Amino acid sequence: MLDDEDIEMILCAALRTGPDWAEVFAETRCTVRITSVGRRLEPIIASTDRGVGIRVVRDGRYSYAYTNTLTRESMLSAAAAAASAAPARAPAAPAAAASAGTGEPGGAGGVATPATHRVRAAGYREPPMADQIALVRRAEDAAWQQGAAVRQVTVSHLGQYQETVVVSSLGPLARHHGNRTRMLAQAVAARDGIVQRGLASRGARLGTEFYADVTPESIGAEAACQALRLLDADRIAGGEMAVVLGAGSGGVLLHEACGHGLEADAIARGRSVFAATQGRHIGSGLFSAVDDATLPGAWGSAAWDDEGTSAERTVLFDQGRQVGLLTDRLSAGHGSLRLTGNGRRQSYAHAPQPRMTNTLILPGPDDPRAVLEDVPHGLYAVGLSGGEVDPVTGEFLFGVTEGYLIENGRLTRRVRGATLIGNGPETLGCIDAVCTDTEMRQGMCGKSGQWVATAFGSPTLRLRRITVGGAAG
Amino acid sequence: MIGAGELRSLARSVAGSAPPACDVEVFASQVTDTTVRIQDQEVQSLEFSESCGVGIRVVRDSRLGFASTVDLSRAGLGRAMRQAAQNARFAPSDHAHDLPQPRRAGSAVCRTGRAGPARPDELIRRGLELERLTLAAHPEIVQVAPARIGHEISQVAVVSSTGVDAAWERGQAYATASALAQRDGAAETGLGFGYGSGVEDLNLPLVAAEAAVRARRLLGGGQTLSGMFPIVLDPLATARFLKAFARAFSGRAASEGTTPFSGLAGERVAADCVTLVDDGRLAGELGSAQMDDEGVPRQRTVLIGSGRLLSFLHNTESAARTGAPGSTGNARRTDFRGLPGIGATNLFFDGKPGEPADIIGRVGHGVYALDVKGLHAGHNSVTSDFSVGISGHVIRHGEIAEPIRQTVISADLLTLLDSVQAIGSDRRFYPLDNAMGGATLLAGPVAVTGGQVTAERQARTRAAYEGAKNP
Repeated sequence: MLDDEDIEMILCAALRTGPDWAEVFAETRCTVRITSVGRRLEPIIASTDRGVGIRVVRDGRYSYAYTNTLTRESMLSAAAAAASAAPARAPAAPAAAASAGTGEPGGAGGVATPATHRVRAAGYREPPMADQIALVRRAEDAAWQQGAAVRQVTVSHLGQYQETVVVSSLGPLARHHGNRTRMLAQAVAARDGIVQRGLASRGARLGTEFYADVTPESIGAEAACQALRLLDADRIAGGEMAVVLGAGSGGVLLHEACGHGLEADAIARGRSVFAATQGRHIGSGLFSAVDDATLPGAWGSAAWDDEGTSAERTVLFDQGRQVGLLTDRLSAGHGSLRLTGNGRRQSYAHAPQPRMTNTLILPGPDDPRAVLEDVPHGLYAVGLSGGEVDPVTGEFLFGVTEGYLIENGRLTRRVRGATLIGNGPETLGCIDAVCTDTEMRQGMCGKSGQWVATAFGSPTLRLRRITVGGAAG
Repeated sequence: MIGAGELRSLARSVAGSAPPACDVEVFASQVTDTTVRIQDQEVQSLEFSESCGVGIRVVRDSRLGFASTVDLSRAGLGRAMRQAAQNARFAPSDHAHDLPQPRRAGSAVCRTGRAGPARPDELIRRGLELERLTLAAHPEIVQVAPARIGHEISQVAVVSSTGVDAAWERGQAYATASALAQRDGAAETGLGFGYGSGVEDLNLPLVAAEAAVRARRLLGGGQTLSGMFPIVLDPLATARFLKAFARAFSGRAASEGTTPFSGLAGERVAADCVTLVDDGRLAGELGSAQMDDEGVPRQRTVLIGSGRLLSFLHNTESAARTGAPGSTGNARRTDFRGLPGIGATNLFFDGKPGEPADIIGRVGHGVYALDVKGLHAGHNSVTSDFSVGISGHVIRHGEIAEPIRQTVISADLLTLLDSVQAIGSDRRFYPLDNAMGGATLLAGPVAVTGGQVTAERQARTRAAYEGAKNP
């Protein structure tokens, strides 16, 4: 990792043309991926990546340059490229860096005497390879044991260690180091010519100690059991109906249907359906939601965001009222919006954007069983497979990985191939029950070509009415 | 930045330092990219990138290990070599992992596209022009957010101790415009995109017109439709389906039994009019190259011929695993950090095409899908079931009628292919994971489920848009 002297030198070069501010982000990332397909161990992928990204900002516009050749010459060349190309609306003010500041705690630290924050982390001790392979074996053994109809099992364990340092002319230097661990399992089951797939994944911002709480066996078994259950599933007849989202699934809905529209860059570009509803009641009074990067060990957590702003918990909806936005430095503008610690990037090769971290719908007063019993006809969606949203119109679409038909308050037939399609703000108003249970899910969220780790959490929810796509009804 | 020739020298040098009794393949790549984003006739961002690294495959006794590094010093490369060799010790012995043998002697560096990097001022000028053209396309286009122009140069060298020795360099320019159209308070977006070997080759009027047309076509949508209907896919929608289902033709998926085509080689899997081809040698197309990412020559592979499944796409490993005659030249790496996977190159429907207007004219009452949404979440790659959102129009009496929104179509790939009735002559390659050849396609009937688009929703969209424009 670069030392403070290197970073100072690069930052000085980036500030040479007198932009509003400049920033240097350096990263080292060690990754190990172990995959087994049908009990056959795939080649182990081990990589070490490192690089530095330099952003130069003037009048809310930026230039960004990165290199993974960490010689002084190459890094200074990247800084010079960013500095000379920084776009401007008007002629740049001279030597703006020394006077620039956001007013945030520790701000205006300057380049010459950067304050250094160090965060506690477990440190990097890569577990023996044989132990990591054993984790994969445990998951696949559990999957195969679920039934004779299991025909194929694929399990991947991803271990990652990351060190970052970020410093800008606006604020203090922040260093971070920590692990991420994730396991993904896919099982294929077949019976009587019917083939189905089950998926499970769990992850945390921890090392392999993560598997003490969430065993590999539980992940493998979850994928296999889902595939086996789906063998008995029928296509659901589409139409409008009540939908009960199982614990965890509602978090995916929050993320896609609302979260992206609350990222401040979408609002600034006039491309969010939530732009005009800040401060208004648009959701059910039962509905409160937060983005919380401070959850210990959670998949989307970090002590700092990738711009060096402290992580925090941001309330997005308070009893149905839209109260929060997620910002990075650029979208927050010159102090017009508060920094919320949501400036995130995929790696040193990418400029930050406002992104969600761990988004959660907060628990409510209802009993999950009673909520189901109240539905004469509808869909119980155990899991959602991710989705897509158009922030301009708020329209979204999700795949349902596993569902059940609700008839007269009871779960009857298993169904597959369902899709939920609706509109974000409208759907918030359709929530008529929020339960006491809560579960978290983990995934990778894509936006403008960048993928970052995000987690979603929610209790069981009920939507009074939503369009379910499926077979002809 | 170093040249492709120097990159090959580096790869040769690393391959020459293989541990005893090991075969080694060195994949060295360097990618430089410059991208500009324009909004409101101002540069929103200008991004430069330069990424260089090496991935090393080491095979000893048919045990494969891999490691990658961006540290190109002698010490850094030596560490990566040792790590790859160490990882091989954990791997099972598997002849499918043996490295490819060369099919012809090493040649000069292959070059396609513009050689040097694009100048930022040239990109900015073209980006400003693209935004102007898009806004000028129609008074209902009120914003472009953003116009994006970029140019990428990728240089690759693959050298192995089994005799592969290849290097190539490729320049590629691309442009996208996202147009926002507004009418009577309703807002819609439309995307236009284009590519060329250099920035000067980009047909910006065409990109601008496409963005504007796509945004405007959906204005006023609000109709709903449910039932079983024939569907006509716009070329872009067809291309998106091809991208989503390309994995179904992967030899690796076939060997794992995770494609709906497993065990169906030679069987009828589609209507007689369906011939699906992957051709990595098509002159001037986005997915074309002389060699794949293992240094194996690209080729033309007929996947489905007149409705019958004839082949899968292979890299060296999947060909060995499935007993196929050999790699089809479809080895594909995301970058130097990973092992070669399998990817389509230029994937398209071939055969006797029909006129798009005639194809639509054959539909009495149906659905025209201008674009498809949520394919990544709404399709199952193992079973090929899909349930995805579309935006488009009702087809009434053979003509495109009012827009529809909030609509889902559901089927599975085999049923869809079996029900194809016509494919249009308007083939166009879209830059979706290499090049997907979209064309107007008539299939079905498929299940269509429509939702309600309420007056309140239209009002809210209008308020949101106005609020954002006048904060």
